[in-house]
Amino acid sequence: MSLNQFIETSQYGKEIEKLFIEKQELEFLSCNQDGANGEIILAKNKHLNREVAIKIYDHEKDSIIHEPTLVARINHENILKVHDAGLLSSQGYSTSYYVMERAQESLTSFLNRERISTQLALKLFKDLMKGLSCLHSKEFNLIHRDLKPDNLLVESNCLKIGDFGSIKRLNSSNKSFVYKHSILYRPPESFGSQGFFDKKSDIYQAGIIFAELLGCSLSTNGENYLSRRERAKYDALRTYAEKAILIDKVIESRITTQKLVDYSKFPFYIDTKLISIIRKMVCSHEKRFNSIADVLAALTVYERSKKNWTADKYGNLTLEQFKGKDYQIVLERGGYLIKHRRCSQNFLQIPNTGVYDSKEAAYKELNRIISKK
Amino acid sequence: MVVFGIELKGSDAIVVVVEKANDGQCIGKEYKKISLNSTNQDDAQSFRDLFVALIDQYSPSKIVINTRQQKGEYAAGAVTFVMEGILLTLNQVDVISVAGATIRAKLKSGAIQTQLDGYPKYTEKAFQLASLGCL
Repeated sequence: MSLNQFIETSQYGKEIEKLFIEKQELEFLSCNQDGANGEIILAKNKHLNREVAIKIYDHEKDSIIHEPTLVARINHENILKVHDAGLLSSQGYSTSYYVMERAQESLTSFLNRERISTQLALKLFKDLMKGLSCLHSKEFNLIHRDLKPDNLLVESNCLKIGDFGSIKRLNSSNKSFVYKHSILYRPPESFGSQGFFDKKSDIYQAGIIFAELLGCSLSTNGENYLSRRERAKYDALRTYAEKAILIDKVIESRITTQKLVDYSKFPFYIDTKLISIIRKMVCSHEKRFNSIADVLAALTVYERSKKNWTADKYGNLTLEQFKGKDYQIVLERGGYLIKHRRCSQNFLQIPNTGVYDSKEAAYKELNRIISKK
Repeated sequence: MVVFGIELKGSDAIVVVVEKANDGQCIGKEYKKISLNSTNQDDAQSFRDLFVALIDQYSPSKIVINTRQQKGEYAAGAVTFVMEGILLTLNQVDVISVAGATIRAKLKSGAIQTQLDGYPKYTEKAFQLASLGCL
């Protein structure tokens, strides 16, 4: 799509035209439909000869325009660098833009594209925690308020926090007003007339993302959250608006009662210690981890006994580099076999093991064998 | 002023975060036992990341660690020196070492308290190090 075609079709046509007239150094490359709340344009800075991403977004007429400018001061490996920001129009809602470095893809598309090992999930989660720790630091005192896989970017297995349209600097009360996008990722304390966001709200959203990284994805189809009774109520409604309101209420109820994450959906090989960490991240505001350092400390305790399980596209499970060996649970001969290998040789069936009916049974047996060693 | 007192012992770093109030009193903010699980690169990185997060959270003026004997019969464990090396690479904050004799002298003169009320016994030395940093 050319720039002129994009200007004609985009709801921000005028603003985009203004931006490219003002910023002569930018050359339009393409548009990216991945981002919610606004448009993302991929462009090239001709002076610096590097590709950049430009986010154009609406916001209320308040100081939020300055927040990407605050982020521009941050130089952290896990936060997308903001090169420039500005206001494009202020009729009704304000429309602003910021120019940031371009990353390969969003976490959503990364997770859709490949199955990741527990180790990589942990690495990406730690990257998120490191970036968040920098935002939360005493120096910047910022909260993101809209952490979700769409707003996180992955490049060379390194995660970066992006989308700074919702970032807010905390005042003396250390609380901020509620940001109402993406209901699925809103923390329990953000609902109600006294709803608020604080640093622990970002920890909640990071906890949901951690669950998704470990294979317990949230359904983006609101209807999947309806119980049988709610489903009957939903079917009886006529208009789309009424249905949307009901779904929002159901999701809100799930969030406030801490039933949004379905813990039975985690792959069975995910360590219960990791699930406990997620539980403590997505629980009520009072019981939640107080800080990023607390989350990282809990992860350090888990890492003493960590196991790096990976599931491939055929459903075979591999445990890599556990006490000098690799292990595999593989579907063969009408059942599941437990195999091992050393030094990247071929996998061989472990002596005195049989053919197991289910993957879970083979997993239990393998755990028994390796815990003896 | 916020100061971290860190006692390096075995494979643990016992951290006490102390804030000096206007009246000169040291107030304990938090304590933590952070372990270095092994000396491989991943664990060393995790250990460092955790300290960076703690520094982000409190923005301390300095970190005070205990000096340990490097050789001889009573030499400290090798892992503590790996931990010390990691802490010395933290460029956001000054890291200083204090000898046990200095702590004993300050305790004797009454310049620092022995222990914080409500904190466990194992945090005693880390608290004394933090208190020394507040002087």
